[in-house]
Parts: sequence; C-alpha cells; structure tokens
Amino acid sequence: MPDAIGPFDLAAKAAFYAVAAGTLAGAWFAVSARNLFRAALGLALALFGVAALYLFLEAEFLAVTQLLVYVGAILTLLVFGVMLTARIADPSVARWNRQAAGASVLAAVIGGGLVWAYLQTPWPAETALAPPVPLPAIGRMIVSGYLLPFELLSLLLLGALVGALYVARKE
Amino acid sequence: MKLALIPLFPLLSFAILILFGRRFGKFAPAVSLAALAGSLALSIHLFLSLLSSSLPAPHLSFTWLSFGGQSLRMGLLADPLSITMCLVITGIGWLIMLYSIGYMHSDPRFSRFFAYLSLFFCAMLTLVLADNFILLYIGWELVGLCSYLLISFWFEKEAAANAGKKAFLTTRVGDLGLLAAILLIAKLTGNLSFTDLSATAAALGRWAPVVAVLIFWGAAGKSAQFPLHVWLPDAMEGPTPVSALIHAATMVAAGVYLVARTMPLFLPNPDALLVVAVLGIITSFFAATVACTQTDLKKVLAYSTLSQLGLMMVGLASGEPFPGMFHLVTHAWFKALLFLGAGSVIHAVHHQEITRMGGLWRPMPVTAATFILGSVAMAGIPPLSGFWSKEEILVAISHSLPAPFLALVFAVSGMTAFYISRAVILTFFGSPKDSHSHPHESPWVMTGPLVVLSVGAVGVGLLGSRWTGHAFQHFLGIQTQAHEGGHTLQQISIAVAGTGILLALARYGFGWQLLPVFARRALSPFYRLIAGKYFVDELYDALLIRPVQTLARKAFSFDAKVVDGAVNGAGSAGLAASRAKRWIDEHWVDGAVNGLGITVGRVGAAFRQLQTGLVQNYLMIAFGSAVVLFLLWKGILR
Amino acid sequence: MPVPLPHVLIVSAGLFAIGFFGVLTRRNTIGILMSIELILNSANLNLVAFSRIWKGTGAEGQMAALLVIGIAAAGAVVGLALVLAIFRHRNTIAADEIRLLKG
Repeated sequence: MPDAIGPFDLAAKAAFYAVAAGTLAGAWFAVSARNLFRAALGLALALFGVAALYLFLEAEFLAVTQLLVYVGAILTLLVFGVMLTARIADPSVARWNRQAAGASVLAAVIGGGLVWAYLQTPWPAETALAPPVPLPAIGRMIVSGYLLPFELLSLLLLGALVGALYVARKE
Repeated sequence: MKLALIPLFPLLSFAILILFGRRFGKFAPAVSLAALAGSLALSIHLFLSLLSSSLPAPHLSFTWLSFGGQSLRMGLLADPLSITMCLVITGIGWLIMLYSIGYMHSDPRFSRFFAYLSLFFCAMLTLVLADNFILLYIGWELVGLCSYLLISFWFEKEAAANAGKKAFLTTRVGDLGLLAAILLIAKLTGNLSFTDLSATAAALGRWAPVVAVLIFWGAAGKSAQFPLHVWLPDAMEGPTPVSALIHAATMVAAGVYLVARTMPLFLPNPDALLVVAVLGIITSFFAATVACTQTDLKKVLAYSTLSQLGLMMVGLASGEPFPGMFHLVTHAWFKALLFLGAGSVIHAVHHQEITRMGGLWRPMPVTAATFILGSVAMAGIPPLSGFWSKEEILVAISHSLPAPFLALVFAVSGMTAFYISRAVILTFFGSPKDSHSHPHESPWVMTGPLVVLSVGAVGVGLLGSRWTGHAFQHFLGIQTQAHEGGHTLQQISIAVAGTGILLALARYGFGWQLLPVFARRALSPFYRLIAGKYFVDELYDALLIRPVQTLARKAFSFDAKVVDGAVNGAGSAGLAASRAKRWIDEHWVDGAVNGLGITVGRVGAAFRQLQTGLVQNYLMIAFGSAVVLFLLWKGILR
Repeated sequence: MPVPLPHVLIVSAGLFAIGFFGVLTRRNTIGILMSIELILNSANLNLVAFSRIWKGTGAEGQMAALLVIGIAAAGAVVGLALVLAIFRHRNTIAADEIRLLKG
C-alpha cells in the first residue's frame, strides 16, 4: 500500500489495527469454540484477516492466492471434515484437554518472548523498506528461479492426493 | 616238592568249588574226591618210601620272612608221626567224603559243602605236616574256621548257628593259650621249629612247665577236654559226615597230635604231665557217665568221643606219645564208622532219638552189622582194634601214674561198653517203636564206606600188636618194652568190657531192672545231675556269658545315648544353623534381590507415565524443553 | 506501510501463540488441524513481512509463502484423510481418546 498522506494515514492505521484484531479474534475462536462449525468460521475470519494483512504489506498476488487456496480450498475441506465427523455440538465434551494451563503458559512464554525480541531489535527506517514487487516480476520468478520447487510441489500434491485417497478409502 | 602238594591239592579243590561249584552240580564232589585222592596217593607214596629207605624224613623248608636280623623259616616235615596223621586224615577223610555224596545229595548248597570239606583237609594237612609252631598255628586256626563253617552249615536253624558260634568261641579260648605259648617260646628261645624241641625245652628254663600247660590248654580247646568241652555235644547240629570227620576222627585229634609232637617240652615237667592227666581223666569219666543217659544217638557218640579223647590225653600223660597216638588211630576208624552208621540210620528214619527206634537190623542189615562191629571195637573186645590201643594206654598208665587213674580208666572202659551196647540194642534190636516209618538201607555210596571202615576198625589195631611184630611202633621208631603185668591188665580189661555189655543186654535187651526201686529213687538226683551234663553249660552261662551280655548292653546303651546323642546333637545343630541361614536367605538376601527388582519396577512404572500415548503431551514436552533449553542457553534462566 | 514493521510481526507472533496453544490443547482432531493452519499462516506472515527488508529482489518471501501454502494444502488433505480413517475405526475424533501409543 502506498504511503498514505494526510487524513488517510490515520484511517489506514486504524484499519490495520482493526484487521489485526479481527484476525486474532478469529484465531481465538478457531481455538476455543466448542461448536466446531463456529471454530471453522473463526478460522475463516482469521484467514481473511491474513489475506488483508498481505494487502497491507503490498503482496497482492499472495493475498489472492491465500484467499483462493486457504479459504476456498482448505477451509472448505475442513468444513467437510467437520460435517463428516459427527458430534459437532456436544456440550459435554470439553474443549481443551488437561494441558490447558501448561500450554497457555508455554504459549505466553513463546509469544511474549517473540514480541519482546521484536521490540528490542533495531528495525531499519521505513524508507529502507524495499519497494513492492510488481506482479510480472513474480510471474517471471515462478517460472525461472523457483521452477523446481513448484514442480516438486505439484508432485507433492499428487502424492498427497493419492495418499489421502488410499488412507480414506472405504474398506 | 611233592610234600607241598599234599595240602595244596585240597586247597585247589576248595578254590575251584567255591567259585564254580554251582556249575558242576552233582559232579562237584568229583573235584574234591580227586584232589583228596591225590593227597592220599602222595601220603601213601611217602609212607612207603619211609618204610623202605632209611633216609631221613623228607623236609621242605624255606625262608618266609626276614626282619631285623632274624628270619622266619617255614616248612613241611614228613616224619612218621606226620605221615601217620596224613594217612588217617586222607584215608578216612576220603571215605567220609564219598559217604557225603549220598548224605547231602538233596541239599541246596551241595557244592559248597565239598568246598568247605576241601578247605578243611588243606588246613588239617598243613597242621600235621608243619615243621614249626607258626605254620601249625595257621593250620590250627583254619581248622577252627572250617569247623565253624561246617557245624553251622545249615545256618537257617538257629541251634546250628549258635553251635557254630559256641564251638568257635570256646576253641578260641583254648587257642589263646597256644598263642601265648608260641609267643613265649619265640621270645625266650627264638626257635620255633620242631626239629630240636628238647633243646628248646632246656632253653625255656623256669618257663617250661608254663609253656607246656599253655600248649595243653590249646589242645584242650581243640580236643574238647574239661573245662573247654562244652562245644562238642552242640557241634552235633552239623551234618553227620562233619561230625564223623571233624569231631571224631581228625580235628579233635589235633590236640592229641600237638601234645604228642611237643612231648619233649612236657617230659622234663612232671607237673605239666599231671595237669594233662587230671584234666584228661576228669573229661573221660564224666563224659562217660553222661553218655549213659543220652537218648539222642549222636549225642551218645559225642560224649563217647569226649571220653575217648580224655583217655588219649591220659595216655599221653604217661610221658610216651605212642599209646595216645595209637588210640587216636584206632578211635578214628571206629568212631568214624559209628558216626557214619548213625548218619545212615538218621537218613533212614529222619530222627535221632534211640527211644523211638528199634528193630532196625532187619531193614538195614549192612548198617547194623558195621555199626555193631564198630561198637565192639570201641568196647575193647579183642581182637578188634580198640582192645589193642586201650591195652597200650593201660600199660603206660600203670607205669607212670598213680593207681586211682588206672581204676578210673577201668571204670570208663566199663561204661563205654555199657553205653555203646545200650545204643546198639535200642537202635537195632527189639520191636520198632515207630510204626509209621518205613526205613530202608542206604545207597551204596553210604554203605560202601561203612564196610571199608569196619575193616579198618577191626584190623588196624593188629598193626600195633605182637601179631604183626609191633609194626606200628617200629614205624614210629619207638622201642617196645616188655609188658610186665600186661597180661593181668588185659584180662581185667576184657572182663570189664564184657560186664558192661552184659549189663546193657540185661537192662535194655531183656528189660530187667538192675537196681531195686529204693536205690533207683535214692540215686535219681544223681541221675538228673548226670543227665543234665553236670550243668556245666548253665554254670558258664551264669558266670561268664550273662555278665558279658550285660556289659555289651551297657556299652550299647552308652553308644546309643551318648555317642549317638552327640552325633544327633551335631546333626541338630547343623539343622538349626541351616534353618537360620535359610531365614537370612529368604528375608535379607531375597529381600535385597526382590527389593532391587521392585525398585526397578517402580522406577520403570514412574517413567512409564511419560508414555501417555497422547501426541499433544509429547508436543508439549518437546516444545517446553526446547524453550527451557533456549532460555538456559541465552542465560535468562540459570 | 501505515504501521512500523514490528507491529505486523507482533500480529504474527500472536497468531503463532494462539495456534500453538490450540495444537496443544484442542481435543478435537480437526481443531488441531485448524490450529496447525494458524501456525502456518503466522509463519507465512513473518516471511512476507521480512521480505520487505530483505536485500534481494524483495519477493523471495512471497515465493516461500506460496510454497508453504501449497504444502499446507497437502498437509491438510492428508490430515483430514487420516481423521476420517480414524473416525471410521474408533468412532471418535477426540485426541485424548486415541491412545494406542500408550506404554
């Protein structure tokens, strides 16, 4: 996103923080909702939020790809899974297992540690940020420098497909 | 040397029969008969060579041991005395062995009998051929062993086993005397050989009478003189051929032979000779009285043997060996005959009580005839053998011993004639008391020897009489003296014998009571005393046997309580110690081992809780550890 | 960029923490998968944010993020297939009820 000037600057900041908050809220829902469908929706919110954050970072292609793949495919898949496995709204089933306390401590430590590390680091000034990469450049990178990884990725996806079919077959 | 073969043939026979006898079955006697025949042949050969040549007697001698500076020589001497004994032993022995084939034919231990007989012959021949005290003693002991084995041959009978024990132990008491004498001779003179006994006697000095009496004590044991006579009547438990051979003809004669052989030791000591005479006459008289009361045929003959042996001893006590030896030879013939005849009767009627017999001369003529011949010979009726030998004894006694001895010997002669005629009449004549038995004559293996023996019983005596020019005396190298007063003695002797026979005939043949009733009643306590054998056995039992048994019982209880108590105590202590160890082992050792195992188990169980199977747990631990490690690394967490 | 870079990074850290918490605590297996997606997304966000200050073409981060998205898809597919298989056998998808590895 180009540097906002004037009154858009504040609005941009506010928008960013709102998106960030929404992302984190959605993530929290995904983790804590008893009803799995609601958890899936929370995940969707989080994924949307991440896509928006990509836009803030001026990575448009990635934002769209995120939406297409993550939200459109993976989330759909997860929802299918949720639907296929019953007991999605059993109130007696606990959400979290007994590790909740320890895990929260650990997550706090890790998160806190990371945050603290980020705050301590001397970041370069905003003017030192690299310019956004135009889309054609990304396309060219895909088919030249990063060709091998993407071909391997397609093989991986093929293997995952076959494997998933085998694992999930009806006996 | 051929001499050694005489005892060695029977020894070989013993070895073969004791090891392989069973396999020979009923041919076992062939081995022993052949061996003994060999000894007999050799004895005859030696006898003939002694007769014909004037060479000194064959003598085989070798050094057996050397120790210190001394050496022990052993050897065999075949002088006339020894050869006489050899002929008697092998000749009569062979006939008895032949007889045994018939007598023992159904016995399960058939071959062993002949093995023992062979061993006996080996021992007896060694004894008589020995040229020194040691070898004689060896034979002496072996003969005692064989006697024991043969008396208790039917050891399943308790009486037989006890009789064997009694014989062995009683003769052992006598053997101690002989051993003491041998040791004294060895210590005092160092010369144990028979070749120069008068020098030995001189060398013994003061001890000579003691040694002589000790030797006689040994002879008294073997020849059953008072007070060591108690075993001979009991020895009748053995098979009759054994009684004939050992306890009539040969072994009991060993004592007589010993005294005759060692006569030079006795001659300088009149006191020793007196001891011999006194014990001999006591034995002879009392045994004769008991023989008159016995109802068991073999017991009659046993006491008769005792009495005759006493006579032999008395004869020897005169200082001359010849009368005793002569009577030994004649007695061997007729006593063996009488015993074998008794055996034949017993074989036919299956019991031994003369009061249940009678009229046996009809079914058993050969036995009856030979038995009667033997009886007449023993009674001392001329011209049968017993008369001649008894006459010699009478003459010798009349020269050297006081008159009472002569009177007693006449009394004994009378009683001898009486009791043997009594036995003959009750056994063979009169009416049969037992109508159930059907006796028959014995087979030829038994009657043959009877016939041969009767020839000897009749004729042997003549060898010493003037009809043959006193051939026997010449053979033994003895001068014959003119017998003054001999005629009188002969007449008295015949008269006494005849009286005895007539009395027996009257009392038992015709059934007359010889004494009035009051006399019989008055004398009945004496009768009981005599019939009870003077209760000598009972006396020994009370004085000697019971104390020893009590001592043995006390020693046993000491052993059982104290010694076994100590041993058991040690055992219990060991047991307690092992129980304590077990407790320690179970509680501490096993406790430690088990505790270790339990501890490991518990530690493992504790660690097992890490394996929850929940992946989220694993993730938590992994990440938590990574964070902790990171913090440690960074120094934030120390 | 309306905000300084660290703020983006803080958001990604928060996403990571939440997703981490969810992986460790969610009982539902599909919930765990969702939490994994959150973590992957936070990683992607980090990549893209740092690519802006990377001395290069400035798009390396985006390339990496693309690859991660593809991989995440593959992972989600296989994971769901596994969940379905387990659900058919054990009729449950609660992670703490599947303890075959318990020792």
